[in-house]
Amino acid sequence: MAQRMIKVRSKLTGDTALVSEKAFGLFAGTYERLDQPPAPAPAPAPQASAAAGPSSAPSTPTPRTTAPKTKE
Amino acid sequence: MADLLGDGNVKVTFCLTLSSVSNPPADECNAGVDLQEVLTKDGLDISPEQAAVDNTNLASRDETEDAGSVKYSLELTVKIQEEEADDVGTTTLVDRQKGFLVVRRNRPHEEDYEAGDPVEVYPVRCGRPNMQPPELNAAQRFTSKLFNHTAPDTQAVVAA
Repeated sequence: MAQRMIKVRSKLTGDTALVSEKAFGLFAGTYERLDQPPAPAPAPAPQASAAAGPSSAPSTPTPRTTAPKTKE
Repeated sequence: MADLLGDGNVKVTFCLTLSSVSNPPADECNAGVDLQEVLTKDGLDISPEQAAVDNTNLASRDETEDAGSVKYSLELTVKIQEEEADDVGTTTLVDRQKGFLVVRRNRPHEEDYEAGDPVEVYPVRCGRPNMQPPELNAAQRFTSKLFNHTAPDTQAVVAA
């Protein structure tokens, strides 16, 4: 049964090699793995969602446009 | 004069990378995984097989030959450990794993590699582990054939 091989880089020399995922722990002190899955995309910040809110809700600016009418 | 004993004086290390085969730096050797504690007593089998070159000629009355190229056969016999954390042989010597086998024969195996240590360095790729038939009163074992894919240095010296 084939082992899953992962790419690692030596912290001493920068050389790269492949090592079975199971064996990586034995070399973890001097090798860093290069196959780390990309970090999940950051969740939308609250500010971004707040900014998107008004644009998606056109009803919010409407009262402002109607405000002058109330002054008449 | 005293014989150099083998007992406890053989260190066998599997390294993923080495920057030099002839002068591997000590810290790179020490970054490898030591295997001597999971090999059987006769589990380090390294043998050079040298081809013969027929150098006879038409005038020869004797059959003569010269020394030809050398091929190294490497095979390790590994004892399987109960605890997965201790089972470094099974974990490291997986099918198609590439690396370097470093062997030191003149100092206690517990001591780290140091500059000046004479070592043998074999660039290898592991073959498929070959489980051995179970035997009564014996540890379960497998053999791992290591394919020497690049010229080794059997008289390498560890660098600082």
